[in-house]
Amino acid sequence: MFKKDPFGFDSITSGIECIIVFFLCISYMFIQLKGANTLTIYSTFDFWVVITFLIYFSGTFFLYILAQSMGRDVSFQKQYFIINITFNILKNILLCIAMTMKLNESVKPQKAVIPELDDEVFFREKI
Amino acid sequence: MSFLQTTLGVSSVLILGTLGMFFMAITLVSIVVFHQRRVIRFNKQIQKMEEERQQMLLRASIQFQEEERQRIAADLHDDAGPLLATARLYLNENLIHQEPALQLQSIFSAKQIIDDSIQLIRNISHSLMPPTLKNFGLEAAIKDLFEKINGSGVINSSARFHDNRQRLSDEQELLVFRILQELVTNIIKHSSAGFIHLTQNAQNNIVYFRIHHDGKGILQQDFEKMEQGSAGLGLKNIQSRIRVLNGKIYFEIDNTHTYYKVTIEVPREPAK
Repeated sequence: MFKKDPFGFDSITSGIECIIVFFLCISYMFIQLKGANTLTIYSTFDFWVVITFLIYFSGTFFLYILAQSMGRDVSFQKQYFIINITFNILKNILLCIAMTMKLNESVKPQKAVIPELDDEVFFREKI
Repeated sequence: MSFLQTTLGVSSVLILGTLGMFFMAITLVSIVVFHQRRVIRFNKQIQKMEEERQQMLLRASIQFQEEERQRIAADLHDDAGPLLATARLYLNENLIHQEPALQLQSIFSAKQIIDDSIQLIRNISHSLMPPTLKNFGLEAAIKDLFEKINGSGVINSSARFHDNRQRLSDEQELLVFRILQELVTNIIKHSSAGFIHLTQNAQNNIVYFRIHHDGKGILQQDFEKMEQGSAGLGLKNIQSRIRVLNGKIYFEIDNTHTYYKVTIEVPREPAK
C-alpha cells in the first residue's frame, strides 16, 4: 500500500466512510435509547455488530486520516501496522460474540415449544 | 491537523486521537447500555406493582365469591333446610293412621311450608341474578331497584335514563348493574343520605352513569386509598368490574359541597 505511490491511501474517502458509519451507529444507539425494549440491549445480535463497527472505525479513524500524508514515515508504518492489527483483532472478537448472539437467537424458537397449559382458562378466571 | 503534527509529533497525535476516539465510543456504548438497563429496571418495577395490584384485585374477587357462597349456603341451611324438615314431619308415615280432618290439616300445613320454601329459593335465585335484568334489561332492573329503595320510605331515590336506545351487551349490563348496586348499597349503609338520584346518558359510543346523593361521600383519592388498602372489599370489586368493562369511575363533590357524585364511563359494546 505504501510502496505504490500512484495508488496511495485515500484518506478523504476513508474519513467520510468512518463518519457515515459513526452516524449510522449513533442513530442506532439513539433509537435504542428511545425505544422501550424489555430485552437487554447487549443480548441482541444487532447491538454487537453496531459496536463492532463503532469501535473499529473509531479506533482506525485517525489512522486512516493520517495515512495518506504520513504513509512514507517508517515509524508511522509501524504504528499503522500495530493499531490496525489490534483493532482488526478486536473487531473479529466482537463479531464472534455477535455471531454467538445470532446463534442463540436462532436456537430460541426451538426451546419455546411449550405444551398446552390451559393459560386461557386461568386468564378468564383472572378477569 | 498539521499544527498538531508539528507541535505534538505524528505518533502522539495518532495515539491520542485513536485512544480518544476509542474511549468516546466505549463511553457512548456504556451510556446506552446503562440507560437501557435503568429503563428496563424501572419498567420491571412498574410491571411488578401492576401484578401485585392485579393479585390484590383477584384475591378480593375470590374473597367476594366465597362470601357470596357462604351467604347462599347459610340461607339454604338455615332457612330452606328447617322448612323442608318441618314439611317432612307433617308428611310422616303416621299420617295415614290419623283422622281425616287431622290429615287435611297436616297436608295443608305441609303445602304452606313447601310454598314458603319455594318462595325462599326464588328469593335466593333472584338475589343471584335479578330476573328483571335478565328479562327486561338494565333500565328496568335499575328502576325496579330504585323503586324498592324508595318504597322503604327511608331514602328518596329516583333513576332517569336519557339515551338507552342502544343497549349495552348482556355481560356489560350485568357488570354495570352490580357496580351500581354496590354503590347504592354503600350509600345506604354508610352515607346517611336523604336522596339518591341516578342519571344515564350516552355520547360518542360511551355510556355514562352518574349517581348523586346528599350524604357523606368519598372522593377520588379516598377511593384509590381504600381500594389499595386491605379494607374496602366492595370498592375493590367495583374497581375490578370497571377494569373488565374497560371503563372509568370518578368520585367527586359538587362546587357547592352539597352533594357527592359518582360517575361511571362505559365504552359501548353492542349487544350480541
